[in-house]
Amino acid sequence: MAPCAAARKPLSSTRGFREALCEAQMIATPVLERTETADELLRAAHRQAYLLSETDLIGYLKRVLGRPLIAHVTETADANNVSRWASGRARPDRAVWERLRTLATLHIALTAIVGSESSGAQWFTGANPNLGFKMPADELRAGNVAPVFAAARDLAQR
Amino acid sequence: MNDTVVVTEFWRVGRRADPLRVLAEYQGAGRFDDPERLIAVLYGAPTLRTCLLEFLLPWKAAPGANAVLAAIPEPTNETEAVDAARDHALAIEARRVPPMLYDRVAVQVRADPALALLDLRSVSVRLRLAQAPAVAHELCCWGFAQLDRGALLAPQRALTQTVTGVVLRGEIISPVDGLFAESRHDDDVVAVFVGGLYAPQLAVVVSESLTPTHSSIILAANELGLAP
Repeated sequence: MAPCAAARKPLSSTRGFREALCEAQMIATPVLERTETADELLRAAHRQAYLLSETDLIGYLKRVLGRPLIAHVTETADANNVSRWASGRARPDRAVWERLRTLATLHIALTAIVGSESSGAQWFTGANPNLGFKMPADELRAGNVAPVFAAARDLAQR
Repeated sequence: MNDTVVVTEFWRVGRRADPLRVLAEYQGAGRFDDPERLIAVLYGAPTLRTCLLEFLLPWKAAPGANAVLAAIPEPTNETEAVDAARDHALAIEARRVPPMLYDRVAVQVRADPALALLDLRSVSVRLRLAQAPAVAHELCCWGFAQLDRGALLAPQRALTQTVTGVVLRGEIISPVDGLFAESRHDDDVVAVFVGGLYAPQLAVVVSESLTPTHSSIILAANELGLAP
């Protein structure tokens, strides 16, 4: 799935980005500016992930990854809780927020690397050779964040 | 027993603008990258199939993928029903070849003079490498008793990159042009050193655009359960 038209607008400022989001009536995957190295790309994705408000962050992840994958990574028993976080009827704890930001950072970076939101999302459930053929989602759930970022970095330098 | 494999031709999937260009400063995450990032490593394989499989492997569905994506709970209100519909759509979405592959080209590369690549499949080579203190340390760190095939196929980059560092700078192995190792899927891969004293004479003899209708892509995608 290609990012929506609003997502392709240059991000001159956070405000511009948010206006573009409103136009599109959806939480689009932030588009990263061209970077030279994989580390720069991941840093840019990290910035974008932390610019999203809590509501936008959950709305975005819900749309691109789906609630079951989010619930799996955050070790949340009932995926309906993700909907409750999005509507403000419940609030996850700080550790869960960090995992959500990590998921968003990786997905924003992967979308820029691979050129598609859905391929970026499917990477989380792939049998990744850089992770011993485990799923990146399982590694994130186990708290092994560094190897997952290393696997994404490997992808970026191909 | 031969320690090296002589390679005159190999395949590579590289960037369209310059498929043979690799820069050490941008590397560091690859399987046999130089841990000191001084020498670049150009990856390839004897067959185009292996190149494509190595490229596409991260998108092959893991055994537990469907169970994770299909764990959609019964909705208890309208909002959750809308979210559940989206979850269902994502769960049944076909896994596809990522578009980034179509920005690349497949090239057949000829090396003249031929490359002498250290054969990491050879037991005697691995035994000698394991004697290097740096390699022995990494083996110990990761719980491997010896530098066997499993250790080289394991995901620990620190170990495989240390092997590269020892080959590049150690005195255990006489100078070679790169490494010849088993692929993580099957078949073999080549890793050619580029930069510094390493100046392989490489020329592209065949260059093929990669498209969804390319027969090799269709075969590789089918093998991994992906839609081209």
